[in-house]
Amino acid sequence: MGNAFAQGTRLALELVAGILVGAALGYFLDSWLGSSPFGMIGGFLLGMVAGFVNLMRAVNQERAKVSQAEVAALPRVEDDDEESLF
Amino acid sequence: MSKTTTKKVYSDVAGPLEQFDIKPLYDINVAGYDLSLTNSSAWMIGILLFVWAFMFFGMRKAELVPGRWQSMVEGLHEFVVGMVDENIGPKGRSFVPFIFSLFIFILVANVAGLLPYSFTVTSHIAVTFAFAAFIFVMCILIGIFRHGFAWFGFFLPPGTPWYLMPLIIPIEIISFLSRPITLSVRLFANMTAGHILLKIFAGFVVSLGVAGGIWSVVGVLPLAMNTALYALELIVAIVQAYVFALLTTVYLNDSINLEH
Repeated sequence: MGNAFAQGTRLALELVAGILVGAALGYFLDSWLGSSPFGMIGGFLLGMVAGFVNLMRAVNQERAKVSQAEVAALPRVEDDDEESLF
Repeated sequence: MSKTTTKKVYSDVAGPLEQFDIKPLYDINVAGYDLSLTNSSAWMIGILLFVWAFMFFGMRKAELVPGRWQSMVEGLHEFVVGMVDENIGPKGRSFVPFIFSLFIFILVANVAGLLPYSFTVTSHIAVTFAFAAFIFVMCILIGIFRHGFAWFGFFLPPGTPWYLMPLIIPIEIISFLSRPITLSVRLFANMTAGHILLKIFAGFVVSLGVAGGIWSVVGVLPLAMNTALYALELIVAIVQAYVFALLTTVYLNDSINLEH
């Protein structure tokens, strides 16, 4: 349960952090170039994309871990009667 | 059971956020800067002493066949070495001391925060962000020292069509910049949220117990909940220390082995 909770907060944060960083970068770009509000809007959108990229990477990482655990668990299946399992 | 006694007890129950207050224990002022020894820094020094004692007395009489204490120290070390080997490979061996110190400090800080009357060092974003910012800067410097200018190719995934470059590069940069934020906020949020939850349920126990009659019986429910939460918090404390160290190795891997 603790592990699932940790995984959940991790995935939620990946998305939020991307948006925050993107919006912050856009904000500073605006105050530097005086292009308000377009820098922040663009930064927000880019940050959202970056957040989703991070999210997808984190999920793929987790999925790769699970499949490794499944591979490690495979020899145990061979000892059992396969008919009764499926 | 009058109303005034209830009010008085409510004010005696510590608020759920009071546990995070930083109190100066010994005032130190250097050139106008407040460098007071606070309860936070006192706990950090205590944690360092504990870690030092754990390592020193565990390995003082190192034997070929380890005793209980020595095998605890060796087990922790083997765990970190395994994590570094798995995520970075043979080039990561020189980072084992760093990852090990980071892991054991955060682990002890998280678990020490569950002791009654204790202060959770890692429940402050200033502490966790200091760690994360240090790791972030370290990753950049190691990347530049090891790979030179080629390290900036990290921001361009292989096989990107030229017309997507103006879009992909900012996305990769934002994705990279969000690393210290996710790293620090995850640890801070997990520790803070768990401790607030524990305090709130503990507050329920006290106020229901004071209410008297049937309410005192109902007060057993939050007590049971708090016990279960305590077990969960212990898992969270250990898992978050592990996740922090694991992600540090993953980030260092990107700087050491430039894969794309």
